[in-house]
Amino acid sequence: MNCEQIQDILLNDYLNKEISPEQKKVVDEHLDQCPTCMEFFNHATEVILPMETAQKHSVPDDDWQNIKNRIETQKEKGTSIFHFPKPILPLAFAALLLISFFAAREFAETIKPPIVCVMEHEDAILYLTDEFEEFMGTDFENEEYFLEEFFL
Amino acid sequence: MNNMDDLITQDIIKKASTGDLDAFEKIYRYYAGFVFNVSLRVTNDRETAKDVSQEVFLTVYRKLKNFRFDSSFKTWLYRIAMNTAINTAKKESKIKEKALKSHIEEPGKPWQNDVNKHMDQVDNEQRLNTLLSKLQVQERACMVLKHIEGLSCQDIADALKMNVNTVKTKLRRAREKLMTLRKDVVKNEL
Repeated sequence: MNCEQIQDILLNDYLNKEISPEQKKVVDEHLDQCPTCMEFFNHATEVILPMETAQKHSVPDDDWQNIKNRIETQKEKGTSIFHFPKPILPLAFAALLLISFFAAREFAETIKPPIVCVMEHEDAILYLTDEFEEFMGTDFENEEYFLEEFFL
Repeated sequence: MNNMDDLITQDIIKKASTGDLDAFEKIYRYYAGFVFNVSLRVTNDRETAKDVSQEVFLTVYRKLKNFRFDSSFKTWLYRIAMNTAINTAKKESKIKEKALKSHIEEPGKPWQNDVNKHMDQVDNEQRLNTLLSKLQVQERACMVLKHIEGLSCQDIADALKMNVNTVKTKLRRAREKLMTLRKDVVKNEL
């Protein structure tokens, strides 16, 4: 193994203390012979040493009492006449959704659908030609030209 | 710490989940040290750690009735503790970042150099706090759980709800970062 591979193992499995005995032996043997990797290893252990030797802090004396007080306060709130049990909130939301749905449906029924006028083919032509004549200001019938006949 | 789960029995957990405060106190006494120390290291502030610790146990108390024993109680509690500590640390660091920005803008106050120069003069505790403060919150959490609490990478992954390889990457990156910082300190001292 070259130095790069050794340093990679050092930064990972070796310092994680999750290395197989065989691999640890290989790395240790390399460290004994390689001052560069040994220096790298020393630098790496130096930065984690303050953590490995960190003192454990004792929990503040009033911690439990504070937690207990807060639990008891919450319990008291829970029995208040103004306090609603938690399931009431999703139920209220569901009820609101249902009411909104039915209200929207009622509203939709009040809106009249657009009137669809179905005309026969002949009636449609007559209607359109009348409209066209009116638009052009011309009476095609007087000119012996029956627009309707052209289409019909 | 490995046999915590053996001592906090299902019976105690079930009793606590029904609101039995004596049973809950047993759980608290067992895990309080871990929760407080991890919170302290992740947030880097004693008062904040105190608040985090209380918040963790209140959350545990509230959610106990939903605990189904599908996973280890220890892992479940660790996860609540780490989530609370990490979220608080993130909020706090945003506030500090704002404060730091205004501090840097003032001329003649080389805050960064001060920290580096003092690193070797202060005791282990302060050095530890300085090192941890140089890491991102997630990296800090991984390093604390690995090198202070002695958890395996798999346990860290479970506590942080991360892939084990992500944990390993974060640990490596954190070590590299701290080594670079150390080099800079040595350079400054020369």
